[in-house]
Amino acid sequence: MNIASNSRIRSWSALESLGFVSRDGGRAFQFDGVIVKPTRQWCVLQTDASPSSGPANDSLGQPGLWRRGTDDDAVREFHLPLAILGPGRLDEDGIDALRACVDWALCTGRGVLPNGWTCPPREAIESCIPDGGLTIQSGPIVRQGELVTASDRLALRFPIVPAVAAALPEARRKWLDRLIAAALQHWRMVRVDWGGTPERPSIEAEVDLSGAPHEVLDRLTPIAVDALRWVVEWLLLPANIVADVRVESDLFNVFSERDIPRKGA
Amino acid sequence: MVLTANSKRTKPANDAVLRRLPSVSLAGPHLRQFEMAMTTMCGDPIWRGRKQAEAHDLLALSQVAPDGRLAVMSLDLCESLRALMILRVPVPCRPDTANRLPLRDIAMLGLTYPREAITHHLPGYAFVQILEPRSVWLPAVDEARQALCLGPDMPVGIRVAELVLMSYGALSMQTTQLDERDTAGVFNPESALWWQQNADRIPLSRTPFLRQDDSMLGPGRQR
Repeated sequence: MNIASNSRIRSWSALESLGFVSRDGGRAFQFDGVIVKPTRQWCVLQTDASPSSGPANDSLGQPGLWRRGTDDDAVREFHLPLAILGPGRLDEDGIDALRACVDWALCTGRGVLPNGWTCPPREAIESCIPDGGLTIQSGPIVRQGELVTASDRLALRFPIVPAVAAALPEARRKWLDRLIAAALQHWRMVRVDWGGTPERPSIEAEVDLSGAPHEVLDRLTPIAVDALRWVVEWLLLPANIVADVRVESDLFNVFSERDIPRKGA
Repeated sequence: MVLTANSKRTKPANDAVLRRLPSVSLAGPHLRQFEMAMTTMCGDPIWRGRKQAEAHDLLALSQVAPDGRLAVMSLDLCESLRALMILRVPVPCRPDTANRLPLRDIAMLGLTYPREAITHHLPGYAFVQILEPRSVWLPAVDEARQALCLGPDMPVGIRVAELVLMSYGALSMQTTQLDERDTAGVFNPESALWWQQNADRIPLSRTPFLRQDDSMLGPGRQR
């Protein structure tokens, strides 16, 4: 192990002040069912996705970055980009920001916001979003994302398929399920899931920043926009083609008899 | 004027690509996609084994290709091998009234590889459908269903990755068939005549599927 990685592990050991216990030689930390796995660019917090492990905080509209895991559908993950910690990353200021973010993750993991958190002024968040950042075109399809703000809510959302036909054949729904699963495997941080109502289902992508420490939002917001754009651009065309019953293809007439493995299954 | 077809068979460079695909180690999302597809695979042992190999090579091709060249969006191995893919390649669409040729830069393809493909010759239009864009303007694409014809009939046991490479060649017109009287390979005679009169535009791209510097055996790309 080189000096740089030793230094990195010593810095991550600051998590111990939050009650985390080092494991795997300092490559991971654990606290009350939450495992932190630092990587070069991400701090990944992970919990069991079974109903007994707490509220289902990984669905659209829930506060925080919790979502289905990239590698394992049976876990929930909270993907924190380390770039938000600033150029020094794990220097003193970075450690303070990291502690605040971990606290954010732990609170939203329990389905609540950090004590006293309120949404910053909408204009402050808008100033962090690049011009045109919430407009995406892929082929003939254009989607407009939205910034959602309320006193207890801060989120960025994109409709991918705004309205899925209620009569969409089951095989096509399974293709859409598989596309959602593939998107979650490919991309971090962003939730992608079915939304809308039973009568008018939709497929949406979301990054929920509710509860995020204010001091990281100027760096986190553009990263969130970027993450959303990657996912939406990747998924927009295929999801809409599959959901469009006017596009006839034998491909969509059949899908696996067995369901895609779901979390907690 | 009748322009004869380039060889419909893949070029030697493609053969080299195909030989090496089985030794590529899948990584990152490609590996996870492979593992997920395997969980729902059905069929007799021979067909399962073949689908496993074909799925591996298809995802390996996506992994070693330049970023964005080939994205396998969804893969189903339950019955036929079915894949939903996005291929970054110039795609011509029907010219407008001023004879301007709209070019799109991606094609969304649906690929179906049935079990019969490993035991029988299947026609060249049996595998690939262009789902997007619409109004594709190629002699080898029928206007209604947009099936892509890759040749009169395909060799028994043709590989899925080869079908993808052939599709890339056909869409970019690096391989093409412009004889409007050849009913075996031309689905759209009107388009064939148009391309005969605009042969200077062929091919739409000379970029090979893999660049020279793409390392076939290098580490897998990660997000």
